[in-house]
Amino acid sequence: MCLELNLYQNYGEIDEKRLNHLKYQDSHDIILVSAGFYLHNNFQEDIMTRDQVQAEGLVRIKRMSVWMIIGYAVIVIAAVLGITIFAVNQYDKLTKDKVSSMTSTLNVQLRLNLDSYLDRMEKTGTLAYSVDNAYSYDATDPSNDEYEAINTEKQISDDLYALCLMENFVDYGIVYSNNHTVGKVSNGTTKLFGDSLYTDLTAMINSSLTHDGWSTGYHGDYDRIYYVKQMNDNAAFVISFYTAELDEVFDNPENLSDMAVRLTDSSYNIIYSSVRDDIPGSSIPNEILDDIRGKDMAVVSNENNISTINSTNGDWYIICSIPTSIILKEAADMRKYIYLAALAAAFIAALAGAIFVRKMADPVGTVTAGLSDEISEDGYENILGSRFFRDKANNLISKSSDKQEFAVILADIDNFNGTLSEFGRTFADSQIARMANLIREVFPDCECIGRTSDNSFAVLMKNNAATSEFFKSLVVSRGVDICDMFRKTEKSPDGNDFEITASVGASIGSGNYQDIYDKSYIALCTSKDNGKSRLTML
Amino acid sequence: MNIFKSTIAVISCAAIAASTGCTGKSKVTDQKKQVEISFSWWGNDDRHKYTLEAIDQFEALHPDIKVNCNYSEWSGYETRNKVWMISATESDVMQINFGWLPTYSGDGKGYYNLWELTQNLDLSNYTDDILRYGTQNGTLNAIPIAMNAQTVYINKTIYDEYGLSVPQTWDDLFNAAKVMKADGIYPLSAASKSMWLYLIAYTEQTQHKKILTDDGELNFTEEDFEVMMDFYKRLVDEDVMPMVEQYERIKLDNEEYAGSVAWVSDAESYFGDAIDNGREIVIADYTSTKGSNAGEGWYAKPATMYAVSKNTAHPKEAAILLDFLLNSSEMAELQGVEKGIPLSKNAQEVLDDKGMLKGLQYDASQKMDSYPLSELSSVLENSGFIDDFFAACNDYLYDKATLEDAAQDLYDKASNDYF
Repeated sequence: MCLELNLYQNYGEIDEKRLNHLKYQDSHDIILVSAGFYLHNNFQEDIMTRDQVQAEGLVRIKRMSVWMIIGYAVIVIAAVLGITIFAVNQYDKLTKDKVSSMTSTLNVQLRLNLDSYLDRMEKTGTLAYSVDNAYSYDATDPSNDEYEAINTEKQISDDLYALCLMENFVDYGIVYSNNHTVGKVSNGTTKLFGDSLYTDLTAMINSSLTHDGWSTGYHGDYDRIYYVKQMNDNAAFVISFYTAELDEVFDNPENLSDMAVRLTDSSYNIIYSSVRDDIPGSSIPNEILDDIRGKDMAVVSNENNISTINSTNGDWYIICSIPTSIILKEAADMRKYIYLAALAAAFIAALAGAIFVRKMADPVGTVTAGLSDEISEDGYENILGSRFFRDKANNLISKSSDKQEFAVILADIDNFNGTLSEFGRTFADSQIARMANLIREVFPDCECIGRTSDNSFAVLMKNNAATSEFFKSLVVSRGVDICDMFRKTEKSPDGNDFEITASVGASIGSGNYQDIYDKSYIALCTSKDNGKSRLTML
Repeated sequence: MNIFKSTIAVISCAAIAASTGCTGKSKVTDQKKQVEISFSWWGNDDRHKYTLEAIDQFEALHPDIKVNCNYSEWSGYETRNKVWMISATESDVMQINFGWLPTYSGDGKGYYNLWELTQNLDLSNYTDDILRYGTQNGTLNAIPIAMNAQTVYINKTIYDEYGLSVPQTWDDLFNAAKVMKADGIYPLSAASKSMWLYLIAYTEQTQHKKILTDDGELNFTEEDFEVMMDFYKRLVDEDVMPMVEQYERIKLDNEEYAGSVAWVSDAESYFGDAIDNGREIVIADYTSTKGSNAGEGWYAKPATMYAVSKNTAHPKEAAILLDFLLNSSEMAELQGVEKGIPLSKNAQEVLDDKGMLKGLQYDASQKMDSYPLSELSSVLENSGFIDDFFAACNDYLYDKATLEDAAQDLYDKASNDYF
């Protein structure tokens, strides 16, 4: 292509015939070989150029890569959160199941503890039968000798005291049908029962086989628990102790210290409670009562409580309950950390994925962007490559009104091959750079500047509201400036003067870039043919 | 690509670390450590309730200490304590009787030396005179809670109904019995120990001699016991007081007894209900022969005391509990004057601030403080001695023995077994 251009330079003149000769024409394209770039003769205003397609493709690639990253992040985060929520819910369920199991186990253990404790009380009571006369003596017998009765009762009393010595009993004695007592029968008991001491105590007997029974809540007093056993027709043996004694029976394991343990009677009135604010004799809280009423040996779990109930000692119940909120408190704390960890993991995964996608998409983008840069600029700042100049100039003109004037100025360094051969490549390149700088300096307000070949530049100027005449004179003036300012004389290596000049061709037109360009080119050729280092304006 | 590889490597390491539990080390979780100590006392229902409540509060204040409680009424408790003491199974902190100090710690080594616990036990609330009550052989074994004495409580409402004034002399009681017995009402009543001490007061006043010498030896003779026993028979026969075997405290509530001899510390438990029912209960003068008694024949003692077991494995925690029981505002408020006016200055200040220094028990304490009562010897509280006395009385009352023989037997047994 440079060869072709050189031909023009050597011929000295150019005409339309030569120009046509220098154009290669096929069915679709006219290629101006001397200019070194392709022109489409069939482009239309609404069809993008290849560069535009490439640029848009690059944008699409970048946009798609962003969407891929976002999509990947969303999928990863959603997946991680979904799995986490599922896992957390399963963990909550597992926790509740485990606590239910522990609660049930504890309840059974407490029932065994209580049974064992009450059994020990009964056995201690049974020891009373070992006391001489204890079960045979009848204090109600009117035939008793008073003196003998005093001594007998004292002996029985002393023996009974000895038997209950190591227990915190309130009562451990015998009550006769005339309310006379022997042994340890407290003032509190005699005061509480009054004249009904014997009848009300014996009314507590509910086992026809063993003639005994347990009871509490007498006249609303749940502070004491009574065990009564019929000794003979006129005597009943009574043991009583404070319900506070059951602390040792219902001592909670430390890890279940938040669990409420209650012992109730058959009406679910509290006999003993580990809850400080519970009032003995009052009913258990309704929300727990609703869960366990009518049940036995059961675990009831709902969103508020986990409760277990076991019957004991006939018609008493041991009820263990723990609020679900307490059970899941640790789980809730853990859930917070799990979610934070899941979010962190999702973020890391999304970030890693983003980097991965980016790395995958980068080669295409990089290559495309590189190509675009190469196309758009031609080694000099703000100097477009030939094709990009052509496209841009064409776009600007075609998108402007038909009346909008544009000037295309072509500047070509004269005898460039001679310069090359005389001064070498480096010097020749410096002249190209000088021309580039000069054009930028002379045409600071132009639309665009292009490098159309090794030693040729093109400038597109727009007539911005000036008269045609003024615009033409401005173009001429600047074209002349280029010629004048570029011209200089250098000493060749062999000592001869060597003129370094440039020729300029320009034309003004509107509507069609190619037409304007062709005219400018003819003008350039004219300048070349007419002695170079001059401007031709067509 | 380096960043890509690094990211993958970091994620992989984190996943492996997480899946392997990060460190692989065993995790050790300490369980809650509690020192268990025990505390024993005797008393009535009210005392049990407020003491248990106090222990709850103490455990809340000291979650590292768990207190196991041993408690029951006085009946049989002395024997229970004896078993504990001789089997070295006594509680770490004990409510003890003044009389048990010489019994179990004659040389001062039967209980913990409380001077060694002052780091956790504030003794500045007590005067030296008070601490002297708990000192045995120069060792501080126990700290008194309050002072106590037998007191004559009279249901003035009943006496007023019969037009009788509050009895001051023995004769007043016999005169009252003549009026009341038609309705089956006893002018006065007493459980065995109170009756025993009441009879000693009578005998000392009439015989003009103390039952014990200054050095604690038996000073009464057979004849003096005869006077005691015969007076007891008179009281029973003339329906002034019921036999101790027939004494039932519920009859105070039923108003079959118009009064009672009892400890200062018994005031609320004996007459609380009567006062609540609008009855006027008054503290009578200490009964005397002439109605102008200056406390002759009447004794006072520390109501109860607290001691620490010499065998305790946790003296520090025992001292913390002891300090709480004696000096804390929580215990002072709960206890009030149930055991009498507390000797601890801090406890007194709390009660004073709360306006709790009032009521029948406070009046009884004031009466006690207004007379120079003799110090009660522990031997006079020995339940065996008392049982032997009433057994001898019964022999006499039921004609199983003459008065002289019964008194002689008692004197011989007392001389042999208790002195």
